[in-house]
Amino acid sequence: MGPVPASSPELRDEDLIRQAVRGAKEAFGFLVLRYSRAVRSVVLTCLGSTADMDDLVQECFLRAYKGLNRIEDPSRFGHYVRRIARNLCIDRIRRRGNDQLSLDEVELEPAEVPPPDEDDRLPKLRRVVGGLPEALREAVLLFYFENLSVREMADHLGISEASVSQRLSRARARLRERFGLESKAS
Amino acid sequence: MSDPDQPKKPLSSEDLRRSFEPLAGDPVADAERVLARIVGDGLRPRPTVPMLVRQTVLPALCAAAGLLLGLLLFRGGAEDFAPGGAQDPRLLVSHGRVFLELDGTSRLLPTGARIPAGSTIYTDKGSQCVVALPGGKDFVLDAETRCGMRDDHGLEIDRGRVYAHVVRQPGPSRDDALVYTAEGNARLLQDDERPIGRQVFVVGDGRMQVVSDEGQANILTRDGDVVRVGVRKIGTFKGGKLVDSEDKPYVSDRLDWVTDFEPFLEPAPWVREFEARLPAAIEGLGDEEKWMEVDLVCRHLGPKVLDQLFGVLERYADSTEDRDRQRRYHAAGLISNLADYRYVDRMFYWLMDDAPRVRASMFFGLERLVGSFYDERSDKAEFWQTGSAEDRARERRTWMNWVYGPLKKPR
Repeated sequence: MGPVPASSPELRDEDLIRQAVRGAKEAFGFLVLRYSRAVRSVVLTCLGSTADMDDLVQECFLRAYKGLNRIEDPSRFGHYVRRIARNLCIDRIRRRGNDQLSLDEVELEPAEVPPPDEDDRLPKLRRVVGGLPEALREAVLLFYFENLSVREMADHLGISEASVSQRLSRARARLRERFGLESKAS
Repeated sequence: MSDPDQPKKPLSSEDLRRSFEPLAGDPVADAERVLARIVGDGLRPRPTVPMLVRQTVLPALCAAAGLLLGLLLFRGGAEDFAPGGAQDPRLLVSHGRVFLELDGTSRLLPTGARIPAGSTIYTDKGSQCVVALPGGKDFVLDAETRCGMRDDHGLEIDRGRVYAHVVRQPGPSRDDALVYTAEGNARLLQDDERPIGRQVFVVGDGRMQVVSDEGQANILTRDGDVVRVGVRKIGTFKGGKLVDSEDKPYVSDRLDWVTDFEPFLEPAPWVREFEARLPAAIEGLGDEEKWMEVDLVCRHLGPKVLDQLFGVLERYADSTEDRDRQRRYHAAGLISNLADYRYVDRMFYWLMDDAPRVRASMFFGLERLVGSFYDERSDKAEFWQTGSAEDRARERRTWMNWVYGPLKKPR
């Protein structure tokens, strides 16, 4: 199989889905490119960084692919695939046992070794983000990791833009506070 | 690695973004892996109705069905509405206060509202509700019950009690509703092949339900096809289905409650008092001085006054008296605030009323009950008051298709 071309923003989700359903599997590759980061964001929010992140991402998109025919509103593929990712995470948590994992304190460390030129404060920053409550952590990841706008976040979370801004503001305040504490402690 | 001797600049938002980069993975590699599996395993989207058909034939069928439904409604067929047709999990009926918790925030859940996957709903003290899942499955949440919406087809009980009921559908009956707990974590799934946990609340197959008393039933043994369901009930399973159960007298009230969806409650004294004031209040709808009393009585009694309010709309529909028009306006306003999901069909009927204010009230009520159909709510309120009858009829058909039919939101 040849390399998958870069994401094509001018193609709408519904067009890609229509093509994929008609047999153009590469069209689905574009959707994976487009939403890979979104799925990772959901997994990070729920589970933290896990060694089997790639497997979860793959499983999520395979489920999405099998269900393409049943998508009611193709323009909302992003919501659809995020929901699948969330359900996968819930299944994973259930299999591990609810007591073994606290959603309020997940590890946002990358599974692989960080690049050598990485600022040594960044791993600590990730760890502090991992310690945020789930709603705030999700807001941070959507904004800084998925690069969604406040409006897009409001649409995705089903809350007002003011609430999104409030969550981001609270998250930043907590990050400043906790990062300062952790820096002093170290 | 950075030089420890160099003073570091303060961390910025961009640093936060950079800190996540190692977690971003490789989207191209993701896409290649997924495509390799799709091709290698010969996967394809599960066959349902082809999209082309969904986008051409089905809308036409839905439009025809909507038209037919509209005709039936205009003939007064309010009972044609089938809750089993709900496409998303919804709060079907509520008595008291029901809350939705999503992403760490809670809000009051109005009747008819969708319940998204991943959210949690919980009932207040003294409140009950019925949750409808796709496929005609309804579940009753007792007071102080908390359930997670696992996905569109399953609830997970955190605490409290849930009763299952299978709405009868035309065609073969289905015996796949199952409520059980697993090690203190009650779950409700539609797949009766799964292992049964330590506690069983309800097994519903449309013909009978097994209900534990106060949720304390314990499975004592599982021996072949016979499962002892707690100390109150004994259920017999064959082929994964409940085929027999032995009744104990002290659970009969619960069984009635589940079957009829009516809380088995003695009305409180204040309810009886307001019920006694209701006829005078309804009569006072056209009298501005009595509006406060009308509101007080109707809001305390809730949806049970709706039949009377709809009766006012009908009784004075042809009257040209100003007082009667006021009655209808006020009744419509109360309906828009108090109606629950069971009255959606009647509200669609009165959405075509001759009086613009009645239409506007029905519009607001329907918006509250069946979700946000329109992007610009204020524009549409204007439309339902001033739009031509032909345009409104067409719009109503489209809206009804969205509510009753398989399509979510026609573009």
